[in-house]
Amino acid sequence: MSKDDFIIEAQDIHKSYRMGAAEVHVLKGVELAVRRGEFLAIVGASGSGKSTLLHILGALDRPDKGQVCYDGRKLSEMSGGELNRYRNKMVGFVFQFYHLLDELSVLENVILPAMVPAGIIRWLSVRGAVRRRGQELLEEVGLSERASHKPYQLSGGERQRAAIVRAIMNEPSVLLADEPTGNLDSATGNGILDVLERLNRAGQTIVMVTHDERVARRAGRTITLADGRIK
Amino acid sequence: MLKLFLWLRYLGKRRVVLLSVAAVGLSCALLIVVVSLFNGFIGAFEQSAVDAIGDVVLSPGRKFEHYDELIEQLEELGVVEAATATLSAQGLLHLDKGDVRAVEIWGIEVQKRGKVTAFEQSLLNEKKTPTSISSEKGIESYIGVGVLARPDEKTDEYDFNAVREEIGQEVVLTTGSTTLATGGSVAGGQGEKREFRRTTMRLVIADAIFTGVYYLDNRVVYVPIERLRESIYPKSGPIAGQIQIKLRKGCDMEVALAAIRGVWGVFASERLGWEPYQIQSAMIESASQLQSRYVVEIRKQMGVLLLIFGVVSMSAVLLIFCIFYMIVETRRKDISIVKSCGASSVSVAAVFLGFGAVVGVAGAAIGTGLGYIVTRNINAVEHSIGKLLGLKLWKASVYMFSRIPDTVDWAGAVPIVIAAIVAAAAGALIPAIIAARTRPVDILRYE
Amino acid sequence: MYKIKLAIRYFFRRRISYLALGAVALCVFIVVVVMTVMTGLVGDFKKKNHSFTGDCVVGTESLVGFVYYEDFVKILGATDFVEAVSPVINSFALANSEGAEGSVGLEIIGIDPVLHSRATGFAETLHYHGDDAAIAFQPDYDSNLAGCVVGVELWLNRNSKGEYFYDSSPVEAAISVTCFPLTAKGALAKAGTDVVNTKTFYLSDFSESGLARVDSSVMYLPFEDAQVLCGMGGPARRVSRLHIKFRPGVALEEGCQKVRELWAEFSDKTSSEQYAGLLAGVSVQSWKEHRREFIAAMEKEQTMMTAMFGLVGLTTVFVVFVVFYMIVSHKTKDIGTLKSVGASNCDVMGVFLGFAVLLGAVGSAVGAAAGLVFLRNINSIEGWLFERFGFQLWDRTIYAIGEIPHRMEPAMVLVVAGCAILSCVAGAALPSIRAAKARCVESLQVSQI
Repeated sequence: MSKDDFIIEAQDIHKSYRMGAAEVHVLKGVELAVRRGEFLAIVGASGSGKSTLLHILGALDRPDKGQVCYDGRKLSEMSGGELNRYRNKMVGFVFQFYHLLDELSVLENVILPAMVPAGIIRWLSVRGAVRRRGQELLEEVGLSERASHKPYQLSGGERQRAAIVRAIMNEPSVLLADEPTGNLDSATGNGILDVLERLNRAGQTIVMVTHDERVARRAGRTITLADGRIK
Repeated sequence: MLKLFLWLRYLGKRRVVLLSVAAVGLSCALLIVVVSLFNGFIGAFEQSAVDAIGDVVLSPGRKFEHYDELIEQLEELGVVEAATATLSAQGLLHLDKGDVRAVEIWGIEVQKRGKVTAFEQSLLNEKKTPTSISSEKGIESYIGVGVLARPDEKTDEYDFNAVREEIGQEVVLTTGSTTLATGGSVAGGQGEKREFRRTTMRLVIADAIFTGVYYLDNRVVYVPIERLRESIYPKSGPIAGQIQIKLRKGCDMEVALAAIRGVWGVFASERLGWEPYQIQSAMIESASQLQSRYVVEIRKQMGVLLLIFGVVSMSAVLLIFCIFYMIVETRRKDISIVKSCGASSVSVAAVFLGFGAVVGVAGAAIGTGLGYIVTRNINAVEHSIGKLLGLKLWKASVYMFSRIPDTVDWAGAVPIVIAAIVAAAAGALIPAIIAARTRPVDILRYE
Repeated sequence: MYKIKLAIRYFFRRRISYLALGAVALCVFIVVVVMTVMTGLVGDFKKKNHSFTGDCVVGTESLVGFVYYEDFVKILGATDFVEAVSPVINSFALANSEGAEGSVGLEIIGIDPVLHSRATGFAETLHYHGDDAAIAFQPDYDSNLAGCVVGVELWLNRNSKGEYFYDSSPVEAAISVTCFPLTAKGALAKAGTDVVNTKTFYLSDFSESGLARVDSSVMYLPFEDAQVLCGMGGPARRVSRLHIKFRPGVALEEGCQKVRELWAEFSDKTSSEQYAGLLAGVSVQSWKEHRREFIAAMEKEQTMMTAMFGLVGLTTVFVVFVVFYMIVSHKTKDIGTLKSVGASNCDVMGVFLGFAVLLGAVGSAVGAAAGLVFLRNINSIEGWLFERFGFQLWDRTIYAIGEIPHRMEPAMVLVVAGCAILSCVAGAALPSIRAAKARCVESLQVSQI
């Protein structure tokens, strides 16, 4: 397998957190490579650092030591603006608690990534196309009738589906999902996993972290994070 | 113990709570300074009247004779400490080449005046009882410092050394009086034709007067009452226009006025032979009654300013509300846990309400201290600002006095302090109610 | 675009922002009302002073006056920028009205009423002869008598509405006026049969200039009579001042500068004359400089009030700071979400600063609108309060004020609104920076619900 097949590579990632007076060394030299188009699950117990690893891969956090490369390019060499563009266009995040904006409607939440880089004038020219794409994506996940509703009017599963649509709005290369079913019952959670599987079959690269082995089995490949390292 | 624990753990550690203390403190200080300055001004205004004309003024409305007997009778009253006569007129003072001023002439009993008013304290040169010996050069006179000199435009201060050099100078005063065309007495009846008789007096400046009251310092010339009378009413015996009275300390004003009215009534009827309507028309008022119309206006302006600043100070209440609301919102889980351990709603509410009152107390204490410092140093502050900006903010010609009154009005400050504490507690009221009504089960249930 | 949308949504959905809006509106309301009233009072006062003085004054502080004024008046009359010149005698006198026991010291101003009305607003102050200033000194009851125009406060009192009660014609009253005649050297002229320094005048009219000090201390006399009374007649006639009015379109400073140049030239030419020394004390001043002592006091009050109410703006900053601190604290999750979809720190700051601008703009609009409504009705409100409760903000029997000024200046409102918006931005700045700097990974952690 050539290097071009790897979309994200993490090399010797170290990360520590200060918890009061104590310093907790969460990641102790993680090595990871994600292939294009694969559905990777990272399994670990609570506090093992799996969410931390995901945040580092998505440039939401910086490692104390080590490198993350996206498509051969080191994230540490990117400027602030390039990192913003990375988070906007290259990766999409799905969180355990959805993190939808309460003041925006479902459709507005979903098209938010498309609104971020557009100025007012550009937005006026592309908003029609963007809204149509948002509507189509919502239809695919069965939320087309909820487009004008506010997040608090949706169930947990519906909110998570909306969050997934938001994450793929800009057609990112990688979808990073942090315990996407952690807050849902098993039936609803399965529905979310069905959506993720569907996306992966269509070619979406997905990295999912979970503590649940059963959820991890729905992925194409599973790796275990324990004692700050990939086992 | 719970209250103290939570105060220290949650409320005491929040730096933003200091902001609300600062807001309460600043509002308190502002209101205390306003109240002190205005009430100080009113006090100075009233005191200036007492210093100039005594505690009570008896003005019959026309000149009268035998004033020395009236004074003797008044001084026999237990409430009266001393009394003195005055005679006033308007005049033109010729100081120097081309320098003519319109002045008010007060004929006074030079030796006695200091017992009734603050006359001696306001003399520039002689701080002892002045003598009223007239020299050959002219009648000894005491002239307001503003008549002799102009204050510096920038500092609004007089050059007292330059004024002292004027002492001993001769000046000419023109005044006049009306007399009956038939040459009758001054206190003649109505309907008789009167003539205006001009008279010129040569004066020698014995001393300058500086009271700190703009009007007095700029308009008044004091001369011995008998010399004035000789000039303008040469055919008359000793007469006065007004009696100024100093009361004994601690006596009741209404009782004193009634006693003085009684003495005057008998004197005017038996000694002067005046008709009842003439006796009744005499004005017998305290110095503060004379000033009351203007004092009411000043109090009104103070009220408006306090209202405006009070409304603005309500923002401190808003601040406290916002801060406590935020604390309650972010600590809902903790409040729920405390309640699930058995704390009552009332005790939870009391934590926030009580701390609101503590913020009020702390803020009011700081505000009182700050208000005290600013008020006591207001003249220094004004002086510094004047130096910095190159202009004089407080001018005697505008605000009546040379110095800004700088006494803290503690009686006025107490309601402000109480209001600050109550307002601070009021700001914490709604957040306290929200905290009290928090249902642990709603918060501690996982999302 | 999303920044604007979010700012608007936060504004309408967060109830706490209505509190901040209320605070901004209240502060703007207070400042607009106070500034309008103060500016109106100061403007009115300046207008009255301008009307009293004319545009420019050539004169001396000394009561001796200066000579050769007729020649200078001719020079001024020949220019193209001067419309009218009024020579004026100014001194102090003792006045005694017939029957009154005492005398009153007051300021006398000797004028030609027609010339003076052309150079100043004198005619407009007259009550009985406002239409024809030429007969200002002719008492209606006997036009042959020498008349005088008295400052209205010397004779009448204001009622609670600030009005004077005038009779249908001036009461027949004789007033004896005594002056100090001064020689050209400033010494007292010897009182002899050839120097008259007391004369009786007859009340012919009242002057109501609206300036308390003037109306309570000034008496106008015919020019020639005043000149003789003050010893300024004779072969070297003197005058105290020349009041000048410029033609329309002539800028004040430009006009005054031209007069200064003319005076300097005139003063040079006459330097060898006998009484040229009296010209040394003569200055040329604009009406603002001439009345500086009075105007400066009012302007200083206005400045102090502005500074004091600038403090009101500070409270807006405080309130907005705390409100935004609260909102940002609540919105950490949203901030994390925005950053996770690629929003930059500037974008996040932009959301909250945009919110602050919106808050300031809407608050200013509400406050200014409320101020406008209040000011339009301020006199009716005062009238109602006076009728109902006897309360009058300014007792008209003491203060020489008519209506309370109520015309809002658009420029002033814009400045206040601009300051309100800036205050909101200033208050929101630190919380916005805090929001921008927030590490989204912390705000998106499980513990942040």
